[in-house]
Amino acid sequence: MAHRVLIVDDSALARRFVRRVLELSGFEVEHYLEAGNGMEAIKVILSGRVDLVLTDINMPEMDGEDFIFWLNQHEWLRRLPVIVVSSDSCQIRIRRLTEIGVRGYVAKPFTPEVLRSEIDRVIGRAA
Amino acid sequence: MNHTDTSSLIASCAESALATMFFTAIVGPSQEIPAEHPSAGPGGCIRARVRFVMEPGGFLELAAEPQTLRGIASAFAAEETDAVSADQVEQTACELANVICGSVLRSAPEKSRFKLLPPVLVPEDSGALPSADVHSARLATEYGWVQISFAWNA
Repeated sequence: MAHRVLIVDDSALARRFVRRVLELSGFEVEHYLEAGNGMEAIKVILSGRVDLVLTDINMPEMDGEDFIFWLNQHEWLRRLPVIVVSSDSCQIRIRRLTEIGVRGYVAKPFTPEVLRSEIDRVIGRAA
Repeated sequence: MNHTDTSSLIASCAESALATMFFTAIVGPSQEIPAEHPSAGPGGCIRARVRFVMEPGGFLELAAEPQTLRGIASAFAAEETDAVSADQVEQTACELANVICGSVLRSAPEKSRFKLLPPVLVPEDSGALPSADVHSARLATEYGWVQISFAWNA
């Protein structure tokens, strides 16, 4: 099954990089969706199907943590797989994000293999 | 960590970030250099700074000539060098500084608790990092020199 993947990052260049790494990883993507912050990401989610979210944390207007908290407040969105892709990855923050619904965490810098492995683990497709 | 250990850690994290995420090769040994105002080449210098909050907190700053960052940006964005915009060059400087800073802090003994603030560009002629405890390394990439300075707050 190909997936509709939402990439959330305030840097257009960083979104392009994540997309490129996903392509290099061989993960099947039906459609890429993009958002520059949590607020934009919510609008994308409310307007159509999303199968996987890859989000940064430090963003203007609504950061990744508030965005994930919002998702977790809505019963029908709690099962949406969310993976944080960020440089800001201390253990305490990872624990806090996990408590509010994050399924996976990839620290920058990362390779296509690392991202693919985490996606497979999170969406339960590990071999 | 002593001065040389910290400078080596900075160089190691920067090399890993450049190779893994920015598809940029290191072409020579890194140099530990005295803490100083980044020396601008003929084309000037772009400086991106990341502030981190922890105990004691501090800064990481990346400095490189625009032409060097344009090459790194082209590799990062998978674009021809000529097609890279000034905005993409600046975004690359900020993203690279951010990634290196996170990587250095995860390797520090106090790694369980830190927060990165959004990277910002600083004027070319602004002063050195505001600390007496600055560690610096300079890396020779395939596109030119990149200088990284890291400082704990006094």
